[in-house]
Amino acid sequence: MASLTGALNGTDALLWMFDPNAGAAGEWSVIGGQVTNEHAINNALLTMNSKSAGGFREFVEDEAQQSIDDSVNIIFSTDAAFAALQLAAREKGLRRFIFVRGNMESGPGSDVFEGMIPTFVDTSPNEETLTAQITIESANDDIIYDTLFNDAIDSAGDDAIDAGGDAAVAVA
Amino acid sequence: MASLSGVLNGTDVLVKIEDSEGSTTFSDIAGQVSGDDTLNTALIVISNKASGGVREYLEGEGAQEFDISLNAVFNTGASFVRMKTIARSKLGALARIVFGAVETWEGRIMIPSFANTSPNEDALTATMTLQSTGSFAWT
Repeated sequence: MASLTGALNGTDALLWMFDPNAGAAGEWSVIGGQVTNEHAINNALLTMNSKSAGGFREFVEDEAQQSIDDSVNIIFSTDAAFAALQLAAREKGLRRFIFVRGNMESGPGSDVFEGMIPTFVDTSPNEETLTAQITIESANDDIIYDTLFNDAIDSAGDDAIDAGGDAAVAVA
Repeated sequence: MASLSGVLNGTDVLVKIEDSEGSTTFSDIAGQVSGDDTLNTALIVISNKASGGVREYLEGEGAQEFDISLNAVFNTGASFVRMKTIARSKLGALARIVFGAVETWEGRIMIPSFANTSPNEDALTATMTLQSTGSFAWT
């Protein structure tokens, strides 16, 4: 994994989504208007407390159901971003996401995962910006951690980013 | 255990993690901002008809667990890599909490949650939960 050179500005951490309905064969794009993003790796640890544990809790090491959970606050700056995310939520669709920390090509590494949207909330206060809160939960075992890319993905290509994708370079 | 001689500054409470499995050297988790550490004991209720209408626990017994919640601004790559690797691997690691010059807690931990929060135009912060597995002790 590439090294951090210092603390990161939160502005430099962004969530991307692959929209299969965009362009000729789908497109990657930054989810527009992100304000705050929480990106979490979760492990559902297995408790194995027993009489042999000497009065302490014990977990089974190297075992857990692992998941990625993202929570994003967004001021939708484009209708396209809103439409793509809302459609994914409405149709209970699986989408591919990338959480990019810093530079996609040389930064600390990005996490690629497939996820579904269990919650899509619009908050509409009077005389204030409409904001959305979206939760994304990883939905299968296809999580690729700390990936760097041969070149930054763009709307024109790099569609097939996966373990064997031509744009992704797995970082040891 | 050394006695407290006065109020401790929270800055002097630091969480350390073993540099690698079996290394016996520890490094501060870089960029710590705040943390909580909690000792929980699952007390064993032995209330019975002879308790005289009050709850009773079995003294000296109960499964213990130690949980650490930590906020950090990772200002070194090595520390970020180490903590994320532990989370991804689902393996454990030795951790210490140094309470100034008073005492040190040490135990093996696992990471059920490792989260990055990235606000607009503010520092990216990480929130980690470390949970003890197996025995632990204070020195």
